[in-house]
Amino acid sequence: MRFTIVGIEYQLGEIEIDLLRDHPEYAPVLAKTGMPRHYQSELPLHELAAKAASKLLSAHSSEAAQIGALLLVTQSSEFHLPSTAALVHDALGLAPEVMSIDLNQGCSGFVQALCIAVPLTASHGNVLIVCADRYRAKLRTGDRSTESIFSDAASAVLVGRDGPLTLGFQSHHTEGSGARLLQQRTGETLTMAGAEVFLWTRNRVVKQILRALDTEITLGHRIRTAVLHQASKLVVETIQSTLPTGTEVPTNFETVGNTVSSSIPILLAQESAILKRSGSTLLSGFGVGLSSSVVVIRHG
Amino acid sequence: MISIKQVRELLATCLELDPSLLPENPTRENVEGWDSIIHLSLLGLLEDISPGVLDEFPKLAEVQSIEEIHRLIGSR
Repeated sequence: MRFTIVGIEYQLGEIEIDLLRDHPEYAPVLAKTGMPRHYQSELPLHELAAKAASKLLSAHSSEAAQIGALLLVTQSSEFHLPSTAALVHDALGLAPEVMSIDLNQGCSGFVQALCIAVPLTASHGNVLIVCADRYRAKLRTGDRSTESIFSDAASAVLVGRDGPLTLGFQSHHTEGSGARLLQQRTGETLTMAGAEVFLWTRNRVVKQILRALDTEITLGHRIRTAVLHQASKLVVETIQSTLPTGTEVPTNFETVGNTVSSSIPILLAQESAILKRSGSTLLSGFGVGLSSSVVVIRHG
Repeated sequence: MISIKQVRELLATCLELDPSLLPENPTRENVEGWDSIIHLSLLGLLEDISPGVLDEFPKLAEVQSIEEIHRLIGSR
């Protein structure tokens, strides 16, 4: 099934945090995270999401009129009910017949949403994926392993029918036995066992990516670019070291931090040439769940 | 073989401390600053001096003390 990415927009949190200025004691962690700058939002989550989506829909008004579904990826909902999708639907003034649902997922959420959106275009026309997270509100003050990583942001991707793109290999892995490694109970702060999550990524996620590469090569498609969730410098470089020489691995953790579900869409927005040129692009989102999803987008 | 003294020195390196300033039996409870970031650095150094150790001993991610680390990998 062919599809197109009509457009991508994003919105970073309105408060810029300079890690070394605000936390000079965190200097040693920079070597591992590579993230000197983060963003925080005080906006209600649905407003942050709507800001990103509004930018996108303003730039593509005729395609926006053909939206038949809204998939909203978030783990920062303001309410247990209703869905954040309903609030964003209202903020955007979408037609009542637009199916609007939340996907409670983190760093693997965009890849999963894309894998749902593409086939959904056959029945629902254009599909709007919005990712939005305010993880910084979940963090414990003084927990440098999380305060030095997460940023608040929202992103919006409009997926359209037809076009030059197709989905190739995809793989999804869920490991609920690792839930305790990255979690937030109601009323408590987020906890993350960084070393264990890292080793899981180094093992499980890398294997999944390498399987994708092998499968695509067998089918005659060479992966030109790997767009990885920007978990941290250590994680991205560890995965990159396992990829074939010459694979492009764009990064932006240095400038925006780990924006959770918006990590991949923001990178795609900033490196807009990636999906416009011929060749295949691998997307890899992984983290909380534990959950890891890989999909290959073929162009041409 | 990795000695317990070596592991202790690696931890001190990660913390930018003299090893003599660590407690006799360093644990994540009694060493201030031994958080997950430092633990990741320690794992990285262990892998540097003993390539493959992280694949062979994934439980290193969960250990809570130098003694535990040495018990796991000391004979490698």
